[in-house]
Amino acid sequence: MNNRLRVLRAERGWSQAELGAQLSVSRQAVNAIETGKYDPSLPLAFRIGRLFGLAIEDIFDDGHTGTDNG
Amino acid sequence: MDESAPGAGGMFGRVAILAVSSIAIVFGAGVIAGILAAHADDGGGPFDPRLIAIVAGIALAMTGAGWAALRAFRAMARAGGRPTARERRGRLTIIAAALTGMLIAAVLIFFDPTAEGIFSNAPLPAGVALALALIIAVPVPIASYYWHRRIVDEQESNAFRTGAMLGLYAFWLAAPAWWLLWRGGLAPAPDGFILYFLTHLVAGIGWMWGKYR
Repeated sequence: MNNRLRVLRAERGWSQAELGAQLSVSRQAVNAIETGKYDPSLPLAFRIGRLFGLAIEDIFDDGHTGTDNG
Repeated sequence: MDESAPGAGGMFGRVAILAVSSIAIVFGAGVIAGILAAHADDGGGPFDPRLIAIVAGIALAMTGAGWAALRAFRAMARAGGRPTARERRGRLTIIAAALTGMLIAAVLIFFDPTAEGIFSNAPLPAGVALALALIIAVPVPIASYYWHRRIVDEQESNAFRTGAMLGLYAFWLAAPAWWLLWRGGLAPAPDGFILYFLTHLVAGIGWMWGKYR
């Protein structure tokens, strides 16, 4: 899943360790999410959204552009 | 400030180097102990130059493995700057677990310093066997509970589940296959410790791959 986490983090001048500490996850977890190798759980995605003041869909993009459920 | 190095593909390589080097050092120590014990059993005396060359070669390889492990550890420590409190707790737990494993391996090698090393099925003194079993049965579950509750985050937890699943499949497939081959007279009797080691190895590789790839 694509996401803007790296850009958002860079805009605030945070290191992966600093972001990880704020989210209570490791640097590896931040790196894995940024590189799209790991999709965060819903609770973690909400924490990320709250931290940056954005909705989850403003950070993560599953590539689905339609409005249907299927 | 961008620190994208940790967690990149190189990290998995460093962890692999660290793990393989550590195993090589333990096995090298076991082989040297076995050679020296065999020499003593043969009545001792002056060492054959060929034997000295072999032991020196193994010692050199162990030194190289130690150097590689140290480099990998330093690179891991450097990557990404200061570790978080969670990572520090994780490192301490890993170091404690590694030292416990090396202590158990050293005791096993001491009591059977043959080429089989820690894979030996030779009898142990009852007190030693009980002490080693208690080390595994009491502190390890407590440390594991602490590890899962206080150290791992959801990404590592997910990696751990991947490794555990692969390890379980390795056991599910290897154990009956080996058992059937034994019943067919095509293989020696299944060895529980080798199956345990295989399961552990596959689960560990899967876990590390999931965490550091």
